[in-house]
Amino acid sequence: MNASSGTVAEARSKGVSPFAVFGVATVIAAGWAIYQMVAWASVPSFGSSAWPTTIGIMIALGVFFVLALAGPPND
Amino acid sequence: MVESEGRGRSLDDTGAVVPVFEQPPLIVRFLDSTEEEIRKRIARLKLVDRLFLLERDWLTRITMLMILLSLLWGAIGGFDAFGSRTQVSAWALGQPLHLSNQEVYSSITLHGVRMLFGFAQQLEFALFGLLAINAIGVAARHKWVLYGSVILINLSMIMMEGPVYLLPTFNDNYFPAVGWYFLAPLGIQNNSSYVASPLWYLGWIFLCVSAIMWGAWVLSHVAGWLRAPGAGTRGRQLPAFLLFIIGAAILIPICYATLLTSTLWDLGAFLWNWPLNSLANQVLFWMFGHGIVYILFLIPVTAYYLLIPILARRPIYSYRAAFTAAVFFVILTPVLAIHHLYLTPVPSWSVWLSMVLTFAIILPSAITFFSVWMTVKGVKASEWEWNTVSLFLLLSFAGSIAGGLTGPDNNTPSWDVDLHNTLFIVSHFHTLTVISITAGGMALAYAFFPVLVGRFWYSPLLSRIHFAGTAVGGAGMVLFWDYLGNEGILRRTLLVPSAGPIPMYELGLTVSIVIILVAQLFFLLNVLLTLFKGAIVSAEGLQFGEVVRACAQSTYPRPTVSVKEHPLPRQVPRARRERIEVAWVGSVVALLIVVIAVTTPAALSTSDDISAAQSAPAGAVYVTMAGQQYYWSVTETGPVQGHFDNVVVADAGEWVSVNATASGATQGLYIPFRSEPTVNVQVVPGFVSHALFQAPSTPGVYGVPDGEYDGPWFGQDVAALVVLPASGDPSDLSAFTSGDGAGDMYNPPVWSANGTQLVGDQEGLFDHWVPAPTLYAPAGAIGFSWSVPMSSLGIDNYLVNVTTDDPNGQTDWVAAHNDTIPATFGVYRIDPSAGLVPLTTGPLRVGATVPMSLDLSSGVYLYGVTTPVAYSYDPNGQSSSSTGSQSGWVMGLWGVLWVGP
Repeated sequence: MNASSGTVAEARSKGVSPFAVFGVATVIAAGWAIYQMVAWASVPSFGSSAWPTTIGIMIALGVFFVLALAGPPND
Repeated sequence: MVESEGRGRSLDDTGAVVPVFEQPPLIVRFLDSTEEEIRKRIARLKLVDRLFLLERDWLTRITMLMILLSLLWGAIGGFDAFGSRTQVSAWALGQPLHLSNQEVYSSITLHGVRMLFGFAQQLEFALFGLLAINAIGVAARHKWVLYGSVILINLSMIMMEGPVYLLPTFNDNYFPAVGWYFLAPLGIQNNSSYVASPLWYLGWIFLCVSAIMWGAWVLSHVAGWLRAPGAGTRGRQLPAFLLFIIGAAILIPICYATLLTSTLWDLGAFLWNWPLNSLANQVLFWMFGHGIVYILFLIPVTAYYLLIPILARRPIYSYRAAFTAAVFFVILTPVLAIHHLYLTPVPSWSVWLSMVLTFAIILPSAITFFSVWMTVKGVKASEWEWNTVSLFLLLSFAGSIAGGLTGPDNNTPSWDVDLHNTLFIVSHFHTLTVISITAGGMALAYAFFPVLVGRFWYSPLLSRIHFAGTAVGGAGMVLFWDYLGNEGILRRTLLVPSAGPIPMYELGLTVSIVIILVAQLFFLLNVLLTLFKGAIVSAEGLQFGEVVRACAQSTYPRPTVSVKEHPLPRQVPRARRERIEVAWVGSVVALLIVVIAVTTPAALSTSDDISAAQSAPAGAVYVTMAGQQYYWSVTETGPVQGHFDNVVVADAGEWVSVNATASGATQGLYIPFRSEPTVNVQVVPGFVSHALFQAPSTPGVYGVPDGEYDGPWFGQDVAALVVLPASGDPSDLSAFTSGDGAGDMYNPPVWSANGTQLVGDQEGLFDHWVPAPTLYAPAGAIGFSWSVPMSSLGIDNYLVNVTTDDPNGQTDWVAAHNDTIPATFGVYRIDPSAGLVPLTTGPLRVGATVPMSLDLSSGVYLYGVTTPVAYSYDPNGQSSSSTGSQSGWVMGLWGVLWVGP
């Protein structure tokens, strides 16, 4: 391992940014969590007990993505 | 470093010569010299020298010792998981079991404590200690405090296992089968039928002392650093990640102090019969039990705040937001205990307050995820490398979000009724502990292990296989646990219903666990190869961030990104970045207020319904349930009258008002309906819990498992709700079977009675079911048979109360007693006005097929051994208050005979 191995970053000028990759990971993880919640919808008590929490999380995720995309970069 | 240097003077931590009267105490000098002698001798073994870094400074040596020991406990804990998992999936797939109930349940217990404390907690101590000392740049002091902490945490793991026999003879009773944790009064002598060894409690006390010592050790360095000259200007210089390490060092003494208090109380009750308030004791325990999750969650949080800025080559998006998150984590973590006790009869105001505070802890997590993600905004693809460190960070980040977002589900008390006792909780928990916490710990390990040992990672390929296996296996685990939880399957149970998709899910779960365990072998192999064959790290001329990037890059097969630091002139003013953070925090706070407001009425009513009897509609049946280890003693008044064991009888659609107590362990009245509202209350000894529910409108036999783990016969502890036709007219079970029995997976299957041959199995059940299959026949002559084969008798079978190391002990005993077990097999009519009316009874014969021929009118009957069988586990007289003991009353060989028109 060369600690200061060569800088050929220019050769990889294109590609998916880490911000986009973390965003996709967040979508998958949050989607899985939402799926877990909604999967309980067949239980009769789900409606009154679970929808407020589930909808609250869905809205929060929407705000999360909107603000992150709208926010300035870390430059 | 403290080293003796002859008489009259010595070296202090900084290497300066100090007068003899400032030398460390005699005991410290003695320990130093002893350690030095030992070190010199064992360092002659090159393998040991290299493995334990014996030539390095004491902080590095101890850190390495902790890492190696944490990996050792992790490996043993993984083996525990494998052992118990193979048995659960074997049962689901109809295969024989090879471990006893005690061994399976203690494997679950020891898996929990070894993974959480021996592995994760110790790894956190190692990494956080090293990072904290280096971050604040002070000389490490108080070596023997740290050594003491290391010794005690590892000793605690050994003690929790129970007595260690130099010449072991058969007795698996001393293993603690008490759940992953321990909830009073289970395990406490004079309070429970299942008694753990007192070493279990002493082990926890050792663990508490170890953790408190470690916290004090870190905080003493921070305090010393703050007192040093120039400290007044240093507050602003604390790196963001260090805030969370200090947060952990503050939280650890606070949370472990509550654990110490509850454990001392338990031990006092165990040894000196102190009075025990189980509910108060459980609240104390959960102040720790919840706190430990957040203490360990600070591992990935620290990894994000430390490593992502380093890999992105830019500071954290908002330092103020990070500071706010750290403060909120510390304030809120110790006060969330009661959200684990929502279904117990705690005051409803405490449930509401816990719900609010638990929702509030979403805030620091929300800040963290936003700040960390925004930190990489603006980083180009060409500036970023997907090495194993960044891959594990990504996995951990996703795991934290997936696991974190399912936390609010549990925190909604009226929803917790559906979730609390199911494997959904295990899915949520392992999303956090494995995909979030362990993956975050792995990111730190991949980044700093080379720094610690001075060698780059040997094999990028092995590290990537490790990552891939962890990601795939981890995702599979939480997926299948979630599926099982959705079906209402209990957590912590060995005996799962073998019906519907359950066997397939169990198989998928076991395969996933095997994948993740095998993946860890690649990590261990890479660790060993790195220690002995890794290229030497040359940090000369490199800044800290450059060294970390170089170490991370050694896990990447074809590095293309320079590790060099380059200045980042700020183009976006802080105010702009903070504005967006404030907008995010404000949105979260507003949403939390709305959700809390909307959720509050249901939360309060859920709690009120458990802690006080609600007015039952006219015509309700009143049921008094006394939970024993391991059955419910049931007395009914109202439209149904009589006494039953493990059976609740109600008419279709009738309201059922339950008044429940328990002894020996916390129990749970759990009816996992899916097309009717789930019934779920926890019953804590010394307190009364209440439930008011409407029986299904379809007559049939519904499974009612005990929702709370209460000892090694937990799997057999399943009752039945027998719903009779409301009109009193005879009915068949076609509506019940076509309606899927309200979706309760614990419903015993319905078999045609005529011609059926019931066969006892090794767990003392008929055909793997408890209750046994419901036999249906039209009125008239009915014929079926049953048998308890001699081959089904063994140490797992409660029916033969003989515990011995002789593999033929049980069968020999039966043979010597005319092939008869002292229990009665009978058929009884359920009479709603009188209880059980015996029709025929006889001895429980072993080995023979016993035909049953009856001429019955339509109605509902019980068959089998319908009263509990006394059980006492005492192999060769080895059970005692020092090794542990267990007894109880077990039911398993019984079912319902339904005779239609």
